[in-house]
Amino acid sequence: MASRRGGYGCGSRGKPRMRLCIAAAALLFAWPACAADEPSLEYQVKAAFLLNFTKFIEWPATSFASADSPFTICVLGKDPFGHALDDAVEGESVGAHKMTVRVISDPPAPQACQVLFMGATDKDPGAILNGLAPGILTVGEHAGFGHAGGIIAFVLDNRRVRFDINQAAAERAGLKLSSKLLSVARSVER
Amino acid sequence: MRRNRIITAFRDRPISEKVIILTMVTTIAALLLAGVGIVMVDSLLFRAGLKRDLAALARIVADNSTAALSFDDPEVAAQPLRALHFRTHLDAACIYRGGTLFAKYLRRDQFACPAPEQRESIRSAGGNLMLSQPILLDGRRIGTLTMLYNLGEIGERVKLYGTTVLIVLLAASIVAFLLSSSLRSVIVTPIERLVRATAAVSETGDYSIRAQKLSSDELGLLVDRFNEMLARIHARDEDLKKALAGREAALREIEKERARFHFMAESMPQKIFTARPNGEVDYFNGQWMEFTGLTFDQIKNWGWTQFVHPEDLEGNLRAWRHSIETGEPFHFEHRFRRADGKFRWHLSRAQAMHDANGAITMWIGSNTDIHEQKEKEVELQRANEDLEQFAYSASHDLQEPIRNVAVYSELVARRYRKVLDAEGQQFLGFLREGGRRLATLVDDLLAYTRASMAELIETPVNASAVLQTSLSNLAEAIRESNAQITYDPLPEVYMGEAHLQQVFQNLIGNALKYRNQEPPQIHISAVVRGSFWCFSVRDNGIGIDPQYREKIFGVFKRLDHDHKYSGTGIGLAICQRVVERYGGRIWVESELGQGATFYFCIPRHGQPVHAAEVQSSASGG
Repeated sequence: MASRRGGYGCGSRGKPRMRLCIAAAALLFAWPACAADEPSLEYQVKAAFLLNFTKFIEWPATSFASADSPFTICVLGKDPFGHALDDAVEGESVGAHKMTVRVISDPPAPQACQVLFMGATDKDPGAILNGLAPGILTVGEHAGFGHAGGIIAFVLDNRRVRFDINQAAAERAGLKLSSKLLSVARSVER
Repeated sequence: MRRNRIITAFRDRPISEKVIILTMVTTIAALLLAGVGIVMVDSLLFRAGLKRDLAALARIVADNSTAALSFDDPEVAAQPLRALHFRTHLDAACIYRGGTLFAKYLRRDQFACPAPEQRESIRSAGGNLMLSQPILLDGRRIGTLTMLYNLGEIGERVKLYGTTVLIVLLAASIVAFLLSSSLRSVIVTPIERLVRATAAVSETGDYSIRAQKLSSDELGLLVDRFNEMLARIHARDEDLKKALAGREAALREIEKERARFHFMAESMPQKIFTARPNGEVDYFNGQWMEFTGLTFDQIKNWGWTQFVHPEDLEGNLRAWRHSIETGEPFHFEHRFRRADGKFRWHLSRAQAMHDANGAITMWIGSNTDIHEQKEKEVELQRANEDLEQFAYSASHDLQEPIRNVAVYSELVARRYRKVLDAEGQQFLGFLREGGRRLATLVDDLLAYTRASMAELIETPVNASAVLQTSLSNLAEAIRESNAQITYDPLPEVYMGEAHLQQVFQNLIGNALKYRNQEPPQIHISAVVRGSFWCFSVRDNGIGIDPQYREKIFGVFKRLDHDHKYSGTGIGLAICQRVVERYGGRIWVESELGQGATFYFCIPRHGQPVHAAEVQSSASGG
């Protein structure tokens, strides 16, 4: 549907357009694009990836407080996405769980977050990761995020956004990762 | 036209060839149709299967490419596309994101990606299948997979099938040929046998030949029917031969009969002929040709009329035609011209032969030369006439002297009886008696000679009136004898009154005279017989011995030689003369002691008719 629409340009704040912008950005990553006050292309792509991860991963029911509690993507510390992530998740849901975005400063309580994004600013992700309850998909930008026990680690590979996966960490967290997701990962740690 | 020629040519082939041709044509046609059908169905099924197959493949590839699309990795997306190279007819497989090509697989560089479609579709175009499969993630479209499949495979399959069918066809044809060659004996052999049997029958004409039955099918039935037919023809042939033989035997018999008849006819001194029912003469014996000096061809049919005397011809033809029409016997006297030109009298007679149904089959006739006889007759008649004339004149001239004798003897008796002594008176008595008898005798002789002088009768006379006169003339004799006389009403006849009276008077007088002890009973009647009136005078007298039936009509013929009954013995002779003068006939039927009946027949219309007719009419009943 969106793909059938005419333009591929930016500028509109309508949600579908936003995602198309991301898609276009993903193809032509290096291009300076859109307006100066917009989030950077890198984070627009990462926001889209965050949303797409939810489609290749299964969360156990214990991850949620109740059957109709929201699916929350938590951003720990400083939020690098601007409004890109909010735009991406708007109207989206995972099963019966409506998708929301929360920016938090402390490690979350169990069942509060289903996805925890940790920006590059956090000094020691390992300590936070170790303290987390299972059922949370952890996504980080740190080099060595996987080694520290994070599940998906964004990397920049030849100016393209890619990611590594720590499958053992995912299993520990009780998440089921689709093989398709694994096939797209730059590397998978078992 | 062409088709008809082919059919005509086929129709004239021997059945053995027909069987092979039919088997071959049927086999080839069946195989060809089956081959075409199989190829068509197969290509349809193959195409449908191919589409299903391709669609399933496309869905798998599309599903496997969702992650690559989601995470913007064309490399990963290209991997499953490349895996498609094992489908050797898949020329291209491409993934589009939006309208942009995201990943592609081209089997060869010259192939191009088909453009994406809005919906899932698969269609044929230019020998290819074009497939477009949307790539969905969570019900959302994230891209499109397109494929280009080369349908050349179908052509290859068709070629393969065609080759197979051709090989099978060739093999089947050979098998069919071999089979039909051996099978034809089942159909052709019985037919050939039948044909040979018919040929044998028609060549030899031997209907006892039978065709051999080899099977119980329609051909067997045909053989049975043929044999039945032959049997029937055989039987009919036999019947026909028998009938022919019978007919030939009958014809031979007839021929023999004819030869015998001809031999007989030729050996006879008389002239013999036979004629067809229509009167044409179809046979004259040799005497005829000898007599006339003519050939059979000249006188056959109606050619004989040329030698009949012109004066006799008309009557001859009339009498002959009368016989032909009525079947009555032919009887005629006429003159025939001899080879030397002289005419000779002949008596001709002919009788009709009848078949079982009464129809005339032929006439057989004889012609007797009666010339001498005829001439003698004429001579005799002339002599007779002279004699009669003499008798008439003699008796006429005798009347005068006899009357004188009677008158003067009477006078002597009356005047001179006393003068005469007893002896003289006795002599005178003898003289008077002799004179009376002489007078009666001369009167009767006169009557007899007059009887032959019949005059032409113009008006008929009433026989009843004549009978009355006769009875009154006989009144005294009737009274004396106490006779009882009865009679039926009598007709008018063409006869002289005196002549008829003479006949009646003589016959009734005889009846009165030749009586026995009882009083005579006499009955007179008349009936029509043919062209005659036949009168009868019946009495209950002494009768006549049959041996004298003819004799009594002679002159001076008396049966009582002792002169018990008076009379001159000339009465019946007078009657016969009178009746014959009028062309009639007189005869008697009687037994001695049983009474007698005299018959006389007179032509009803006055003309004298042939004696033969009188005979047949009188004896006809």
